[in-house]
Amino acid sequence: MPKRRDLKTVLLIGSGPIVIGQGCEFDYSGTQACKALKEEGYRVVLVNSNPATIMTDPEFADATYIEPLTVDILEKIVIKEKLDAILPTVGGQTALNLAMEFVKKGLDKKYKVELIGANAKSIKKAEDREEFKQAMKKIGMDVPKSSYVTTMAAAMKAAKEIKFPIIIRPAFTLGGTGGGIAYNAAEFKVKADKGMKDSPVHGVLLEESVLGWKEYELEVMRDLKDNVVIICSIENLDPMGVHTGDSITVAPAQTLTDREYQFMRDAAVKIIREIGVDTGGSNIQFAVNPENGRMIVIEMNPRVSRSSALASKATGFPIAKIAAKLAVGYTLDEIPNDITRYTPASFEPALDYVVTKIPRFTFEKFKESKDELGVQMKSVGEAMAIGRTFKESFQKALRSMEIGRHGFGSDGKDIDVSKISMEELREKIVVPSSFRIFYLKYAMQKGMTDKEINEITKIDPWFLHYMREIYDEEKALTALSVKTGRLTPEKAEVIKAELIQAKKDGFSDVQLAYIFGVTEDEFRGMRRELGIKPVYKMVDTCASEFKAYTPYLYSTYDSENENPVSQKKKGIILGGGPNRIGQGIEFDYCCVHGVFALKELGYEVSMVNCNPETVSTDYDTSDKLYFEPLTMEDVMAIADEEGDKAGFIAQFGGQTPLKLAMPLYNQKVKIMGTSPLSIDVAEDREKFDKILTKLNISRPENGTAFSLEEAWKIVKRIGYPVLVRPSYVLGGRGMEIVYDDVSFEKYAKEAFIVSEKHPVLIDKFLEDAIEVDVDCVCDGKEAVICGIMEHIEEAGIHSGDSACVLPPLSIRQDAIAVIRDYTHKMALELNVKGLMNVQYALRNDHVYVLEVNPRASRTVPFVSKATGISWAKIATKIMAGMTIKQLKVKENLDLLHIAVKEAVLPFNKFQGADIVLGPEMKSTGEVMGIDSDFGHAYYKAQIAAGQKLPSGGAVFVSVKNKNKRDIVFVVKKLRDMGFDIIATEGTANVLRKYGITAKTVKKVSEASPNILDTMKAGKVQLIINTPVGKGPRSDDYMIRTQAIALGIPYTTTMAGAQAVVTAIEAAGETGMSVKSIQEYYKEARKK
Amino acid sequence: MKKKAGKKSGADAAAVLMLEDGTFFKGKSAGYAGEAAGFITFDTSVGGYQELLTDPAVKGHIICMTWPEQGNTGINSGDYESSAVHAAGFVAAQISRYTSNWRAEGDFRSWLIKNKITSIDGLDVRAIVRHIIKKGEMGAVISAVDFDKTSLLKKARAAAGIKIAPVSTDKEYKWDSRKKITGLDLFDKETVYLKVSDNKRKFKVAAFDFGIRQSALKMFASAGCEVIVLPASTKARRVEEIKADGVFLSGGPGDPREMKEIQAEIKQLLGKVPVLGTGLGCQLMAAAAGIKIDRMKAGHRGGNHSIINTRTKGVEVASQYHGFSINAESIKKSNSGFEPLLINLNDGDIEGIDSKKLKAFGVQYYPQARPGKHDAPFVFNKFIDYMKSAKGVK
Repeated sequence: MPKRRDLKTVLLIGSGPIVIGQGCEFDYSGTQACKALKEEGYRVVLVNSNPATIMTDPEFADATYIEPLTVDILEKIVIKEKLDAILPTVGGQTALNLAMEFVKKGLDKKYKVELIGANAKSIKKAEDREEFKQAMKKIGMDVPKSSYVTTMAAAMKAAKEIKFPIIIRPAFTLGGTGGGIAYNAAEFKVKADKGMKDSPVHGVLLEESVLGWKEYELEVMRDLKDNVVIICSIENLDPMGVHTGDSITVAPAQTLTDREYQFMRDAAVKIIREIGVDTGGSNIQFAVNPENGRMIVIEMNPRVSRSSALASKATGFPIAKIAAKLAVGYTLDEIPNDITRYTPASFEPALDYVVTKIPRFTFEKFKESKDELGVQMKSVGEAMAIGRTFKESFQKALRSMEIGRHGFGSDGKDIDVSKISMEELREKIVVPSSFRIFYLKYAMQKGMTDKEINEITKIDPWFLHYMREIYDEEKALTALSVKTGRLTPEKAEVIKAELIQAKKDGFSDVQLAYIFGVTEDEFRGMRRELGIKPVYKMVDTCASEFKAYTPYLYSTYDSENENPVSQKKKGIILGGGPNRIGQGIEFDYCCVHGVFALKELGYEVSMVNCNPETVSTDYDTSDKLYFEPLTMEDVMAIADEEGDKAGFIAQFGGQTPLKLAMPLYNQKVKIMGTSPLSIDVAEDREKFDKILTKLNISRPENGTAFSLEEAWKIVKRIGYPVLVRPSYVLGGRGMEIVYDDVSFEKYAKEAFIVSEKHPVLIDKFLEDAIEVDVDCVCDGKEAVICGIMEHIEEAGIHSGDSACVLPPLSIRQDAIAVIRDYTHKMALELNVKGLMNVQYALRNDHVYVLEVNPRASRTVPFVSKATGISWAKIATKIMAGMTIKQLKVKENLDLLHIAVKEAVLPFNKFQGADIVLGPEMKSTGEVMGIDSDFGHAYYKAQIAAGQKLPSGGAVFVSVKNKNKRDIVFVVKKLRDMGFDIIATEGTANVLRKYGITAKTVKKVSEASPNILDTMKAGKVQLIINTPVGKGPRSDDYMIRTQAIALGIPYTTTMAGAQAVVTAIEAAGETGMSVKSIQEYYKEARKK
Repeated sequence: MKKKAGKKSGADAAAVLMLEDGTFFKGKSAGYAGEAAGFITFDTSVGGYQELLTDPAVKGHIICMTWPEQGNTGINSGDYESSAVHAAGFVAAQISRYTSNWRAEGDFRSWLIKNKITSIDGLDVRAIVRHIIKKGEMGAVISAVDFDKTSLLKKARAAAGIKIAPVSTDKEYKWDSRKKITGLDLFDKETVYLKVSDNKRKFKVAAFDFGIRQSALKMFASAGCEVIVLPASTKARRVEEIKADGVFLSGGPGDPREMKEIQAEIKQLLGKVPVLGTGLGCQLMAAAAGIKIDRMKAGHRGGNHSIINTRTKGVEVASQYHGFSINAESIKKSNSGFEPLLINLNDGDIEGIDSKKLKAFGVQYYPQARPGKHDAPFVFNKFIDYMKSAKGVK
């Protein structure tokens, strides 16, 4: 079928900020869809509030709206752009929900806009649990048995039918409190009874437990002619009970016979037809009972998903791109497979390798929250690895994680198993957690059999068997090393066969160096001397049956190398690895721009990354894609492979590649741009202080401590408050502001632990200072400032978590001039070639330098979107040798519009975590609000970040003494706008003195009804709470956690409160209007 | 296809693969440590090694699997396609020492040993496959007993010319559909998905056994047909004698161009009675109608190719194992009444031919799948429709 000609303008909805459960995979899918639709000649309109995305680059759509994802905004865009259709299936759950809301309000009919990809009816059928269940029953699918009961008699009757274990879910309790699982009748009686009592409606849902069953996913595509293909099967190593996003998964499925697989495939085909997803991709999840093969359908996503991004990278089949083409009328057989070019997309990829995905967690940032995995997703990123066998793939995935591990143990990081009891060990493996995988090895070391481990964890014994093979091999190698002693080139020659086998099984150089008592460098030297080198194989969708045209490569230890190494001038960009808090999509954005820029200059560009969610790992982003871990070993192998003609870019992917810059430089690998020596200077306190002294630039008093004793000396010298932090970390890990001796002792100790071998840094903390972020580019001779951003929150809040505004609002011109001057001087002094980011603090009009990073920063995409200039591209071209003059870049610090960046925090996913902001970064994503004035821009940013700022109602105010005078102005304004004020006694008394009446409310510690009850009753619409204390016992903490649970907007800083008030005022006066970034840029150029 | 006696196990013992053009690979003996010579082919199926190895069509072949992890789910009595293991040898990146599947009744390595199927793993399978694609399928030998390259090369060269003995039943028999195959209960549901036509009349099908597979017989049974299985050498008149409503020409091993006598019998049947041929059966039917059959450089073997129906424009993903193709030029010239109906979308190869006049229809792939997809029940439906129209029933 040809493409539809009745459609002209199509709107794509993005997924908004990166949050847990919805990561940058939707930038990947959205970007693909944008490209696919533009390629077909449609006018593409895009809305997404996330500026750190490639899809919101102005060239990917005809009109790009960086606006909040709400129905009224959508309606305004629909009117303005005269849309014909909306494609809601590539922007995650956010896009799907927004489109559904749009339809529910009848706006699709009102404006004659069609949903393409999936219609509202199908979406509802797939998303509504009850409807889905009925649909599945109708086509003869098995679903978990369940029953809703309100009496004990009915419960007992239902239990007989469902059979134990049974999950009991009380109806309408917050977060499912009072639920549980019953394994027998006695337990069931007690728990069902309690569940009914906990439920306000005395009802419980009883459900058959499928915990511990094998879990599978199929990625399915269907076209308008009803052709259906399965792109990939995925098997979860962690069985049912752990969210699939938090599970280690393997593709394709390993422990199904062909009969079972085809049975599942048939089911998937039937399901997509019944649900009625007309075109595009869906993801269907199954559970299989390992005892008898009974297969049940768990759920279906009628859209492109995280799993489909993984499946795309695992197979080379671009699901989102094809989905977009199917949505406009093409059929699968009409679309060519990009990789093979001459074969069509109507096939099922054949894999001749094993893919392993491991999720990345950041529990260490949320200390109050337990490191336990369950049905709610908690991971913030993932790494994927490709190997010829499961063992190789699994070990490569483990060393891709960047959690300090280099494989399945034997890397010098294993715990001493003699210090852990069997009892403790059992506990560690029975509860799924971020570290359980390593405890499986410890369990083996401690003598547990696969059968025992399987009984406890339900992990399929096939996986356990191969983990044990790795462990057995480690034992054999260790025995060998005891015999040979410290490895020498001669000895290595003797055990060459064993070493080759170890490399084939995925052992890293670090593991083998540890086993054989040498350094990694020494081991690598000996390995290379013996000619043990990886070869590169292609991911080609067809197991080599057809010629592949896209060099999408992975390393393995086999005989034939398929890597087409050219003699062109080459640039290799090192990516950021798995996303985590502090290092996410912003860095991938820079990498992708790096690729684009080098391509423009005629380079052959290779990308190295192991993050399947990203645009950078799309096979058609770069000329060559190495899907590899970002470790010294793997990157050096690529350097060896590509030869002298290749230069590496390490300053775009965040801390991960930056850490490799120096070791690579030491190995004589060419690093493009700023010298690693300069990076080292900026990281090294003493060296950097010398530069600042020379340039006559001030910084807060500080010191570097290598011991606790030294730390005490420093704090005595500079006085409280101080900022304590470990060195060489990103995202402010382990950073704290300390006001007294007791806390100092505690945090300094912690910092030494996080810092490992590196020293701990102590700075005088500048209270009430304004923080400023500056990004600049420099060619070594000339520097240009990209943008100056003023933080809304005061200094002390990590810059990644702070809202900021560009251009700055309240900074005096003379201070700006100083900032300009300092930035230029430092860039030139450090001989920066590329990007540099500086953080300043302004107090009493004095400018202090807090930190300098000669690399791409988190704010580069925001600055680029706000100014309409791709700074990462300019930086790349400078790294390739061009000058600022040649590039005709001019500094322009004035804009006609205001852009506000706001951080998005994941507190709702971490039960118990305190929502107070501090020097340690906790946000997962960001949004941008853009408008002609600050009030509107900030309002948009808040709405986009999910803070539903009210236009009326009651505000609860509780501030620390220090803020009590400042709050008066804010509260008065709210009062004038018609808000009611609620406060605890202390604050209310202060307000009363200023003539503001506030309703008093009892503290948390007082009897009901107290503030928590007032909040629960829906009587609070906004919370202003500057914290007095931290930790779970404080009143504030209880209020804040309750606010998260209830979704009440809140602010924990004075500056934030002031901004919120300005925003509410602005929105109240004129409401919101929309404008595309292309329009903003056009206006700016006119000026 | 020779099978030499070998050592029973061979944990990590060496084994080698030699191709007739001298290409040589070192690997490890995995399973039966013997020696096997044969024609080397590759297959892209992910699962289904048991079905594949017991399919008579693979007779004399050393099968090289592209999917690296083989044998994970062991062996069970429900997944046999015939009562014997027909492959000469088995090559994979890794053959599992561990079995994990609720249906498993034995492990794959032991089964290979018991059936004396020489098998090898730990080699660069992708390199072998790329070589076959480039140079074509050829003679090969895998050995865990002979490591002398000269001797191996001789054996590999000889392997290309080994004649494949036909696989067929000795005696005519009636297929008993009630015969219970263990392990099938769960999957009896699969027929639900296949939606084979209503067959109230209970047609009688004469199935020529050129290496017939259990799953094909099961498809006829599930369509309500009575199946009489005939030896490959059966004469055409026997079909009349048993009053069959249609003829099924099964798939199987061997070069159809050499089976002149069988072609002659099929020629007599065409036009008299509806005919369905699959795989070798399809090729024999085409040859009988005067259409040229070619040997392919590398066959279609696997489960992921898409095939388009030139009439309906529908696409299906098919399970295939064939090394001979139907010559497109000659079909035009043949005046046989056959026309191409199904085309492989990857390379334009003819995967199905049809003649409304003759009420004859053939497909190159396995419509009954196993291993593979259940996308093509229409093949059986079409055959039943032909039988209906031949009988004048609606």
